[in-house]
Amino acid sequence: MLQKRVAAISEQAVRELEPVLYRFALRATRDADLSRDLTQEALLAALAQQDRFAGRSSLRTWVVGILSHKVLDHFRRRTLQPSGDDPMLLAAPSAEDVERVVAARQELSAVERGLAKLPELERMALLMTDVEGVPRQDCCNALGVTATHLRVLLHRGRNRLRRMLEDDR
Amino acid sequence: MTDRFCVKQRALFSDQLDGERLPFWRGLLVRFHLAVCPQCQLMHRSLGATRDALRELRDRDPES
Repeated sequence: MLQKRVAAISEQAVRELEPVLYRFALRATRDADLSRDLTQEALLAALAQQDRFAGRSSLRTWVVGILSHKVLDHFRRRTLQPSGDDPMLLAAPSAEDVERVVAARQELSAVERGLAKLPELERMALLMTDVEGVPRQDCCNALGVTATHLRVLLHRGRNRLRRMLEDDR
Repeated sequence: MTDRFCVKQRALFSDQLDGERLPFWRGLLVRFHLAVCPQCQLMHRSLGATRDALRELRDRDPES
């Protein structure tokens, strides 16, 4: 069987990836200095492991996965925030609430603020799947969670964020 | 419809929005419920708008 050879990660690719990774890390950790460190660590790890990149996903997705591991290692070294039960599914929004959420696409600062307030693992799940478009299976592998757990994280994270956007004034 | 019944359907809205495969009858029940429950229609639309807003962040610099 022919092995697919993937080109080495070019300097141009590294320059293009750096701001992508930094944005992801900053949204995940809300710490600029830490995000710079994590970005550098992820890029170095990607360069060191580039022979493992088989091209099944995009380079961006693959390196975001490496960065996610670094971010999660950082979270595990701290006390994790508990993610509580979510009673949000009982209260349906009003039509005005929904329009506020729809309008949030034009006012992304509200989305950023809401994202920053989410529990860490829910925030990571949304960053990877919704913001970065990482396929769910790759997201499970990067976060070290089962498919079922990821479904719960996405479900809770999106609903928490939805409620924040509906309540935003 | 009871709130508990709505809650059960709403728990699947994220999967349904993402095009994840649901068991046939489960998926049919969610679609049918969305056709007849105005409250869940609002919830579904709001959840979809939330997900779409997140997608808009992809190449945007976060605020410090």
